[in-house]
Amino acid sequence: MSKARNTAARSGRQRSRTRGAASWLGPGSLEDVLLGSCILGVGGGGPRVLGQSLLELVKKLGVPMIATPDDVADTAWMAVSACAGSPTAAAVDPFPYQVATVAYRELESRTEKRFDYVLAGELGAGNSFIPMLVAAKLGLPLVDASGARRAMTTLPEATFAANGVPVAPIVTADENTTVTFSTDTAINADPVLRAIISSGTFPDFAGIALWTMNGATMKRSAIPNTLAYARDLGEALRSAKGRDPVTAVCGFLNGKVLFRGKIVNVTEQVVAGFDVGRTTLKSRDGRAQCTVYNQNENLIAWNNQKSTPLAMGPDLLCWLTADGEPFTNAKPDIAKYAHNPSKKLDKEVVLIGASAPKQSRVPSIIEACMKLLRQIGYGGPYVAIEDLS
Amino acid sequence: VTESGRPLSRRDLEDLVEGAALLGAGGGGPRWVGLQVITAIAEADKWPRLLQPEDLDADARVAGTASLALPNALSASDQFPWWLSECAFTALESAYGHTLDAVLPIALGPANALLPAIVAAKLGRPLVDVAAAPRACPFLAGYSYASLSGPLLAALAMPGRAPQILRAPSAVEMQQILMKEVQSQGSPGIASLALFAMPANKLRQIAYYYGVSKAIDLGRTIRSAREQQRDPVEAACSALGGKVVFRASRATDVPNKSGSSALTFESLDGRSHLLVYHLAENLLAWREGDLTPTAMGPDIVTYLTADGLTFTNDAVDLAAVSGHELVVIAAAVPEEWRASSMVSGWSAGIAATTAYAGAYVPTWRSREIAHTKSWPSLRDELIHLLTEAAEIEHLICCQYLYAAFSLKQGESEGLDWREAMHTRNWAQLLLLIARQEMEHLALVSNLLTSFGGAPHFERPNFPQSKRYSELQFRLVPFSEEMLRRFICLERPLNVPWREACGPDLLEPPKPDLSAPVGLEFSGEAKESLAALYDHIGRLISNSSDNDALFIGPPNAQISGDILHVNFPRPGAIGGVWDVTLFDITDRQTALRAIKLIVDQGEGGRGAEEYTHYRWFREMLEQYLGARMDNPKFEPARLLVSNPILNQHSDAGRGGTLITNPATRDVLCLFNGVYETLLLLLYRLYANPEMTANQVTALAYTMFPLMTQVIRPIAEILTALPAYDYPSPFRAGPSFEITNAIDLLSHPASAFRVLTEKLSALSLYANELGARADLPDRLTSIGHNLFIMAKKFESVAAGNYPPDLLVPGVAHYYTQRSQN
Repeated sequence: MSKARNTAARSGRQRSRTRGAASWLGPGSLEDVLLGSCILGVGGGGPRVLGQSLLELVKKLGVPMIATPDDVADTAWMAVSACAGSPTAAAVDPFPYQVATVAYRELESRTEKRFDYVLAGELGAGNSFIPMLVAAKLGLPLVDASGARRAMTTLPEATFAANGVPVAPIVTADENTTVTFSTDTAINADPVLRAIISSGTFPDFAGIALWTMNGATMKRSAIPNTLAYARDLGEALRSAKGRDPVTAVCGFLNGKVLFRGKIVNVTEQVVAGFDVGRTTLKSRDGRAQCTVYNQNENLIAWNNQKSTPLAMGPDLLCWLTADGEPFTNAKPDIAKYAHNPSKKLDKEVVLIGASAPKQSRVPSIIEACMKLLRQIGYGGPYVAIEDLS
Repeated sequence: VTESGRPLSRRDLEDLVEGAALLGAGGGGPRWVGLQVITAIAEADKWPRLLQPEDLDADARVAGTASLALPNALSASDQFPWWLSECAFTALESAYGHTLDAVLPIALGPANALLPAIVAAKLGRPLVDVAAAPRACPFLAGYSYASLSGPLLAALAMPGRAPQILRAPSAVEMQQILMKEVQSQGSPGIASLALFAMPANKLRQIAYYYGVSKAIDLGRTIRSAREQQRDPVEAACSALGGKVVFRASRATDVPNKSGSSALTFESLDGRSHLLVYHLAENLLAWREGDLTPTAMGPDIVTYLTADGLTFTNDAVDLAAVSGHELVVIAAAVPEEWRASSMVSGWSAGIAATTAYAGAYVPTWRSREIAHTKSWPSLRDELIHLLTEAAEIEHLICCQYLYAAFSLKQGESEGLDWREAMHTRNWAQLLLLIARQEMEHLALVSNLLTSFGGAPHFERPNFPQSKRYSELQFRLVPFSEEMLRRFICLERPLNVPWREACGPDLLEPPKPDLSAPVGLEFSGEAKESLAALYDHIGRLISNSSDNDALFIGPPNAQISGDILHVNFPRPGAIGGVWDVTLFDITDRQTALRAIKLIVDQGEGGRGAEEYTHYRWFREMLEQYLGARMDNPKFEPARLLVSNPILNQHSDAGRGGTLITNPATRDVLCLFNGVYETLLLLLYRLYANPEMTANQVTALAYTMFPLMTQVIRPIAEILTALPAYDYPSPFRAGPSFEITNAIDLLSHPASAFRVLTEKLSALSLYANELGARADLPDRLTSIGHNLFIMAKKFESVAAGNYPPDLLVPGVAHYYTQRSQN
């Protein structure tokens, strides 16, 4: 069958299997998705500037149809589409999102399933848009659900992993090469994935496709309506004109301001192959200091006046400037807001904390977060943000 | 200065390695390097001389030396190139342009305290008895020498390379330069450095004094504990003023992503873990699962095996203690090392290398919070301080009694006649001192009553973390370490800490009679008891009539007349039981009470003859003399330390659970009697509400309860096995307060309760005395209790013949009853 005929046949079948998809996500809403996703990226999830360029690409390709999970047939097939690797390697313009498409197609071929939808793994300024681009490119609807309602640092933090969805086969790809591998769990897949991407086969960056599942499994394992949540959050922020944007975001997230001050130091160190970042804020009166540790995403925050943490993952630690600009830990973002008298940069920022959704507060996801925290030198237990005074 | 100082022997250096290993807080260079250095010194037969900093000429110049090595490079090395330290030192001397007259230790650590010693020995210059901090630090900026002004000069020597001279504007930058050099491509990863060249007068301003001596003393304490089969961990904790925070079967070191490593200790039952984050030196200890760290720098987190071997985070050191029970100890550094600048430096370092960026968690936080209260009135402050004093006197009294009861009682226990004479004299003296502590408690209670406060006979259970003079309060048998602790505790106000608690203890006391008395009392753990009383005395002296302090009912005072102790006894100091008690109703009598307490305990100016301080010093001299005559002389029975019947939430760690069932029964009796005594005391101090007969009943029951019941049971306990398995260790009186001890408020019911308690204790003692596995003497004690109960009831009800109410009447009454 020729490629053209294949696509036509697919479109015909798709219409019957994806009948619930709608185009509620208009180009105008994409800006709100970007704002909300940047906040929910909890410091990671790709730089905001990348999100802006991906958003433009989506507009060019045409916004894909969006399906709510309830509209997806139990027998329909889909997989998670994403990109992974070094943000520096991915910082090329235009962003090579096609690698995710290659991986997605390869996974479809490997599993001998016909994918009816594209599924997102997580949210983030960049990461919300990659599956959207893949869906637009492949002419498939995007399911409004994902494995986390935030950006995540490792695969085991996804609800798919928590619900025992088989992660394999996993395809990594650039435009010319695909590598497929299998592991039994997401815990084991994570280091292999990192090893393959940084092995030299790929330019420290690759498209990935994994967690093949049907509609029934998706409904059981994914957090529904995450894209709509990001859009609504963005809209709440955007529409807070004349009001305090921080209050608007806290109100939407049911969160609280953990610290307000100026960013006085941003460090990133590579130790034993891991990047650990540390952002330090000082309060307006200079007395209190807040330190946020991240591994792309913010992991834990402290106030130097207290001996207990302010909050930790999987709960959300989100960045926002006092005047309502979300940003991430990526250098191009945070450099704009770090205190720098010589460049007259003196912006007040807030760290907002909010509870993770209940689907992400299950033992395996908490354990995955605690493993990360242990690795950077936190010896305490997970305590939910609402229990930390 | 080259002829000055005292020579350090091999034993001194070995003690230095062990003590410095504890103060190295996991780092300070590996222990095995320290031991290699001693071997090198011995082979050269050139021994260093230790010079006190005050003996340095003012124009002398000095510099420090230490090692710097990457962990992997050290593990791969069989022989540490100690000679590099000498190269670095002489290179620094050339670059500095002055002769360096003496060598300084910078860090206290098993290698870093010994490397300056070998440089000193090789170059024939003295080693100065200082350090740059009371512990080894992972950051140069954590050392006091880093406060030197001007650019820093350092010499770095690495194997196979000529020494390099490095300059940096500050210690922070110097550390970066040094690390870059040692980590550079082709570097062997091992280096010695010399730095901090300075004149002696500057050193005197910034050094941590007597750092080497303190480390030697600490090492000696552990060694003697091992040799005398005492618990070395307890000895180390006591000397450090620390506490055991974890006991582990093994430890594994794992690097974390933030730059430090986590030495993970697994508990003996394998169920819990303690993570010790370190950069060679320990930064932070964190019991896995606790929301707040267990201990953190600048406080010391250090290690010892249960059988007394020191070790560091070095892989070779860790391998050497594999299979031993590992103990993690946390101890506070002296207060000046917890200044906010010091703490913020440590906190920044910890935040940069772990994922903890919260507030500093001091090791002894609860005590400090207790002392930082402010008081709404002078009365409040006095009542608080006197309540504290009452608690301390009570705790001290129990410790002295335990020591007295631990002494062997004659030739039947393996002593010769001279030794037996010593132990008898010491026991008598300790009991006399303990009685005077009871008198102090009674006077403090009168003071409290006079100010409108409540007498306070409660106290936390043993052991207690450091309270005064940086000392722990523990029940331990008679020993050299115990005597040193008591001397330190009774230190007069104008005797420096070093003289009473430090290495110069054995020299004749040199109290500075011209020194000002009455410096500001901070209420911190480093303060002496004398300072507490001095502060109370000054508050009373400075009070005005307007303060109307003395509002307590005068008839609530308990004097010697009420207790019938105000008559002389030949040989006694004060009243019949060496006790002098009087009413406190005004400023004059209040100050008289404070003066009496201080004069008897510490001595107002440290030169008085009849003070606890002087008596303990004399006991130590006698003890050491007796040990010279017979190195095997052991004056005390082999008692456990801090025996306990039950775990108590108010006690520190380190209690020894008595597990022998029969012994537990006797201990239960002991604690019951002790608690009854405290209830009697509370009731006695509420005397205005009682009849004269009731007061008399209480007064006449208290002393016999102590002498005819508590003391004999305590003596029985020192002969009973501590454990339920074969062991040479014996138990001892635990002085536990297991139930709420408080005033029985209503006289009628109180006397009934007390009578019932005495009767029940009598029955229990008789029951125990009838058992084959316990001594018959308990039956006699049961009889004594029976008589006391009957007499108590009879006197309180006014049915007892008044002419028989004289001290020691119980025996007389017994005879009459039998007749």
